[in-house]
Amino acid sequence: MKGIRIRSYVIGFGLSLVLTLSSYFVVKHHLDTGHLSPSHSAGRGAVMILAISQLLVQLYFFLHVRRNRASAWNAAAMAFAAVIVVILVAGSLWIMTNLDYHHAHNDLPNHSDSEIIKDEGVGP
Amino acid sequence: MSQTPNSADQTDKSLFGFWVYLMTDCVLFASLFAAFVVLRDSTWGGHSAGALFSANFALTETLILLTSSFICGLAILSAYRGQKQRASWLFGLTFVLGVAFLALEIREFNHLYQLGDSWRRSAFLSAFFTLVGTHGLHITAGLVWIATMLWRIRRTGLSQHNLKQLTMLSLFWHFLDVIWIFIFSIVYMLGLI
Repeated sequence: MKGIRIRSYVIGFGLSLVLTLSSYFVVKHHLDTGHLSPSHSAGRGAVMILAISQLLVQLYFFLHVRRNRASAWNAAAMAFAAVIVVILVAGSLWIMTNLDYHHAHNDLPNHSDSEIIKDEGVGP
Repeated sequence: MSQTPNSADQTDKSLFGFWVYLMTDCVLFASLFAAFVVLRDSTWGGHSAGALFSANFALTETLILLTSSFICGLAILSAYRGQKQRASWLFGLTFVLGVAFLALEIREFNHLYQLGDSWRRSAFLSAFFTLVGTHGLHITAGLVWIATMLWRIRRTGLSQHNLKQLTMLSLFWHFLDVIWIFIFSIVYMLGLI
């Protein structure tokens, strides 16, 4: 952990601040215009891109993950964890949006609710 | 202040081991995020994210934690430079900001509970309290760790051993801010859109 300078943290802090505030203003603007501008999907996209960008900024400037020999093992462990995370999150989303509850007999409205009530013996 | 090859190797191994632990913590949080995202619309007739969250409040918490992470970086640098007083003050400030963050979070949890929007109200709220609560527990552990290190610095100064532990602590603290970026974005920002 030698050779790290204050500048790294200052730049990282500054960039993170900008990215955080950008996300905030995107959402504020969206709410102030009655969920019109930007659109739901554009707003979501913007927030996610800003989040990933801030992740990269903090990995580089705060956690000092660099492309040098010293960080190679750290980067490898992180890449592996990333693979697991992607499978976990994408897989869960894929499976859960394709359940029978959501797809079968979709002619009736609230069919999945009545199925759940019947199956579980509960009610709202 | 040079290390023998042996102790430098030991430090490298410890730091890498701690990094691997952080990666497993990532996977833990990923599973909680996955559960939250799947359940975010399951409000069981109750309040949704849009009704419960405040952008200003989430921003305040985020700025406090971000600043805390930055100060922690300055603190560890001071420690490497052997500046014992300065490092203690900066880790102390990191601690204070962490407490402020936690206090705000507990206030929000209590507010939701009083409204009847506890973790028992709906799947969405169960997932919310679990995800954000787990992060809060990590922050609490971090605060205990900072306090312990401040005490150790007072007693045995900035020894090699303490520096190694402070390094791991600062990695942990930065990591918690990284996780919070995603809580802020996915739970609060996306919740409000």
